[in-house]
Amino acid sequence: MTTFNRSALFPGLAAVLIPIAIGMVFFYSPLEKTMGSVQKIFYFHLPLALTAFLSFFVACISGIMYLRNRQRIWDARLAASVEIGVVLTTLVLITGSLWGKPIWNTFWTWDPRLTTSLILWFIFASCLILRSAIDEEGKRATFSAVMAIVGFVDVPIVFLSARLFRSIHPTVIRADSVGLETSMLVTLLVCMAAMLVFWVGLYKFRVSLFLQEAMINDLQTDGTKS
Amino acid sequence: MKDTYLVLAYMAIWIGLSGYVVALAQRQRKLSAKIEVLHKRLRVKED
Amino acid sequence: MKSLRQIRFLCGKDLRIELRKKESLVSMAFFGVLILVMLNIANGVGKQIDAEAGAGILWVAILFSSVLGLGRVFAREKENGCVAALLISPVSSGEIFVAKALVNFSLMLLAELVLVPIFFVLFGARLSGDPLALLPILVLVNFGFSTTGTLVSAISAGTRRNEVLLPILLFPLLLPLMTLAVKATALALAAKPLADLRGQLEPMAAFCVVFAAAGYLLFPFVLRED
Repeated sequence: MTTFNRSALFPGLAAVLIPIAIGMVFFYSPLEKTMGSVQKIFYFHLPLALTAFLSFFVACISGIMYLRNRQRIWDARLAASVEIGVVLTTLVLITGSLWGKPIWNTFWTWDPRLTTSLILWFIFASCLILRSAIDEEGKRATFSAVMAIVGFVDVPIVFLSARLFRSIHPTVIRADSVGLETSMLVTLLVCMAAMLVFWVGLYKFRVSLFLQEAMINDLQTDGTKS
Repeated sequence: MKDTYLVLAYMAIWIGLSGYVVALAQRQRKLSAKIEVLHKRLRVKED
Repeated sequence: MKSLRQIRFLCGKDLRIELRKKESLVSMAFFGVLILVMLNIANGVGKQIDAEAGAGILWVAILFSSVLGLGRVFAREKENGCVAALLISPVSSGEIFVAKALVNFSLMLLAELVLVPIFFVLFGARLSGDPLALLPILVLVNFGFSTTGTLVSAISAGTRRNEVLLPILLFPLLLPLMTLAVKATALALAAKPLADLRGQLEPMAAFCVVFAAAGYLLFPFVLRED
């Protein structure tokens, strides 16, 4: 069984796709009328958000699988996907903020999507904090699995409540009233593909790191025992 | 002026993602060092 | 039904212990009042608040006071080495979950009996709402808080950093419930009729059902890790 990530396929693909994507963003995609060039943040902001969501979904599934059969590989997958998800969500929040400032003249707005991202960040960052607080592998895995599952179950509720919340303030900004013309759509799809490939490569790398650390840990404790 | 934000955003993405990858590579390097130590210890035991 | 009897028994045991010394209740009420006073000062002495700000203040106080009570729910069992006894006893983990959640629900309600009147004393100058109108909101939040909280408190009690981890893990999950509660409370404090609050109360009820189910299902896994 291939425990470790031995293929350079995904990193290689990412190394090709990402420059192409960036090139398309800056040279191929058209200039948007109302927002100007700042709109181009969108081409990575959206893929980052979707990939982060995918990451958290994988975390939830891994949590369920771990609770079912207690195999280390599922804990590895959970740890990797939560960590990557938090990194990506951080970038979603930063890019969202930087996009908002020139457009709406504010760094933050309680837009349902940004709000959901923020709460997601807190939920899964707290999961990371939980993991760092427990040393025993089994306990750490079980507890973080439970938190990842409830955390993800919370997501649709968060999104719905964020939509209800904002209706106090009817002067809310409608962010994406951008009609996507073909060249924009193509650019977006290329960026999405690049981001996905990058995620897979990163995810496999992180899982293999986790497994290596666990194995070395096993060796060390065995060594000190005998 | 608006373009500054565009540049900042892409810089943030770049620094964020590559920073994370570098951090992971650093972890990998520490793991390799640990393997060396364990291996040496094993060698000593065999002698 | 045997289950109900078990639950009543466990519930009664915890509540009797609590009411004998009242340590949790007193701390909860005291801390809650303290927060209300501090927020009053922070708001500026003499300045009056409107319904929306008031709603936020009330819920901050209730939340922080309730976390105090929640932290003790499992900590006490662990301190006295009772968790093993619970697990060996013929009570199922589901019944333990329901009992603990009910205990916490009651404690919250009792603390709120103190906090809500004090809130109106300190902040009620310009608020026209009827305190009784808050009752459905309080019940729903207590329910959601207690069920989610019982699960999370079992997790945090299993770590070395119980008091620190509990709010970190719990609050992000409760954010959607709280945003809805604050909005509903703001409407209630502005003396809007109950029908107006349905837009918040219904999602809150949905939240409670979802998290009660999730908590009930995941609780056995957490309990076993001791």
